[in-house]
Amino acid sequence: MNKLRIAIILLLIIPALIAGTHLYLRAATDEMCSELTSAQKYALADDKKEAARQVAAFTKSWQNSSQIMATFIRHSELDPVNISAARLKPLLSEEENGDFLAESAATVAQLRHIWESDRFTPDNIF
Amino acid sequence: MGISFVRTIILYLTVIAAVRIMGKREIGELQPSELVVAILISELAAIPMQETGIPLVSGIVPILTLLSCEIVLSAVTMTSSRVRRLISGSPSVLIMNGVIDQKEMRRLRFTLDDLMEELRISGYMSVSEVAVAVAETNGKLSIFPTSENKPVTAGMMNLTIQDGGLPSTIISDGDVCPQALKTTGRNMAWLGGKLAEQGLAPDDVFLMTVDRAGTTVIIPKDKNGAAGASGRARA
Repeated sequence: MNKLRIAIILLLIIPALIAGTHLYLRAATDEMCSELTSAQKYALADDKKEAARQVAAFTKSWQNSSQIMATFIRHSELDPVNISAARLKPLLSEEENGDFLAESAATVAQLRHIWESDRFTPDNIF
Repeated sequence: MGISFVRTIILYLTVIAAVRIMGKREIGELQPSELVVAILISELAAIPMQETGIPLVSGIVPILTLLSCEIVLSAVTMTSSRVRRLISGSPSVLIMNGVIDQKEMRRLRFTLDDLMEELRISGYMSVSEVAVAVAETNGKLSIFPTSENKPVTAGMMNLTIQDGGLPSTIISDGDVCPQALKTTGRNMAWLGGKLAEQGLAPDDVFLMTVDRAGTTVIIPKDKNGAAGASGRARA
């Protein structure tokens, strides 16, 4: 009966953990996407200073989140965001507005993909 | 390499714990659901061991989930015979009074070669010697011979045999087991006397057992380090 109790507890803990990681992933990717979207808007409005501030905020968020995400997301999913995150700041400082917008859009898509690939959708399940 | 090493140790301990929690049945005779779990666990543990790009939890979570499902399913099958039949199947009679049930053999995809092999393993040369053969849910074949082919037992011959019971190990590789001495109702003085009869000290003994009837078996240690069967002594 003890084993059964352990099994039932595990069957409760595992979905709770999954739900926790799922909620964290949604909150973290939403926050980072919003920072990048703001950076894009400021870059389009030619407000480089504010755009750089948003990129710095995104970089910090990504550095914190990627370490947590690495414990439950395939590392190959995180690597493209790592590369893109490293390119954003230099592109902005080198006045490469078009390249910056393209790279930040790609980063947003990659972040959304991380969240999408963890969702309980028929596509992901089957 | 270092990461793989650490991951391997973690997964090894997880799998050992999982198999331990699932119980001894898992190690011996496997039911269909248990076989599935055993195969899946080995596969799940191997992938994150080699692929360091895969999070360790993606190996551990499925293992724990399988383990939990298996335990819950076992508990359910214990309480419901219907679920038990659904998950584990039911035994099938393949031979009844020396006649093979061909329909049942076809249903189980049990070939004649398989059947004859099982009969030979069990010591029967012909189907006619078998009263009943049952294909158990774990895949083993239980074979019961006809009355005339049953081995003679002491009961059939109205003989009274002294039952010694399961022998207890008193000395194992030179180590005296005081608990075994106590459970067999003996003491160190008795042990000393028995060993003195053979001119041995406890350190010289590889194995010493005693059964309920008092039959003592002493196997001294081989001089070269290995136990010698030739050194067996009965008292």
